[in-house]
Amino acid sequence: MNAIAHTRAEREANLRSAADQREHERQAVAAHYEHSPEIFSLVLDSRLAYATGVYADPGEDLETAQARKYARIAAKLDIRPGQRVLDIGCGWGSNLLYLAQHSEGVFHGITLSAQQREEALRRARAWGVAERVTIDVCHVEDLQLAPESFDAILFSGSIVHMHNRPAIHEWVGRTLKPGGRMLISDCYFPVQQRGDRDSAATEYIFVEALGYCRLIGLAEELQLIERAGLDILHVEDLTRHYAQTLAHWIDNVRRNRRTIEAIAPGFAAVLQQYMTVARMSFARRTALEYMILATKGAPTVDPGAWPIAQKGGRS
Amino acid sequence: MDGIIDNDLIVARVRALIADAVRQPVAAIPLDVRVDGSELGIDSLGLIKLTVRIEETFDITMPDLAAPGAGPLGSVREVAALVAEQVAARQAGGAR
Repeated sequence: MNAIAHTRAEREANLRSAADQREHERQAVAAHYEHSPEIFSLVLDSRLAYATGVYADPGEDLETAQARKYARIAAKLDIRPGQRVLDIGCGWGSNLLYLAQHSEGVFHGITLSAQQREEALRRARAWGVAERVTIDVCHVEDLQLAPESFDAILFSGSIVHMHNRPAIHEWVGRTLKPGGRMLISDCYFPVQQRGDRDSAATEYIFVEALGYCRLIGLAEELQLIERAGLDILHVEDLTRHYAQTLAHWIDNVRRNRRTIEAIAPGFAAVLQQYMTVARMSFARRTALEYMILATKGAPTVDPGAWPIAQKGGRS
Repeated sequence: MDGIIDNDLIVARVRALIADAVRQPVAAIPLDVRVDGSELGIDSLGLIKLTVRIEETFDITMPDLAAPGAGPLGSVREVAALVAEQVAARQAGGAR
């Protein structure tokens, strides 16, 4: 692999074979998410989105902001009855189960964490959508799927853990049906470097806390998507929203510190520390959060017709 | 941390946490040295870890380092005073 490396972890990844890096991600990334779902239920919203919410105003609570984000993703993916949806890095099922409850699609999720799979399937049964939901513990590069077999592929806070981006996008390009959509919600580095990407803080969040992360530039990701034959439909910046989401998570860690420590000693500090690094990075825009929507062939949604709210009464 | 703690104890404990963060003996940490200055040389991750340790130790909330217009942390003595203020507020307001 010959990718541009921004951090020590990426330089190491570049020295591994693709198979070795896949194994590394499988082990290193899963570790964080294998912690008890009970801990994350004390910190995140009720559906357990481990990704930014969307705030209409700064005083809004986490639950409202995450509900807005789910609805936004549902509107962008516009899943029709019987359509097949793949959620790569589905976590505890936040988006996957919301979409299953709000459409008549058929859903397959993958995660590297058996704990996440179990919790997501438990929720699928409890919420009456289990017959349209399957979830496997699997690395994305090990998926064996027929070409043009899915109508939508979602990556929410997951593609950041994947080193081999060109292969991922080529695979998405092959696997989507004509008219299929891909949505990514994730973190990027500004192209003009701000801050030290080899700092102890960066190493802490990307490696010690989260196992393996690779932030690239937005334009790099967009180019890989276009090279795979997709068209970019819509990109929006959610950086400020992630800083706000993290503030809510950090407050929840504080409030539940003793309970979290009783379940996993030392983990409350890890959460608060990495979340504070992330919050500062988004607040200072040394890292950026974007939601990207792309389509294979003619789009089924029209971003040009989406409303942009006007502030104040002036027209 | 349970019970009423006085300000001298808070200063001593904050100083010990800072000494621990820079792996120095407590005596090597002057009370007037800036916690986030070059003299102690704590990097941004070190400051974050230190504030989390302080929050855990005293069961308080430290100022948000990422807030717009967030100021520097100040001297060891000033950080201890801030902790004392928060501890007093918590004790006045009852346990969280």
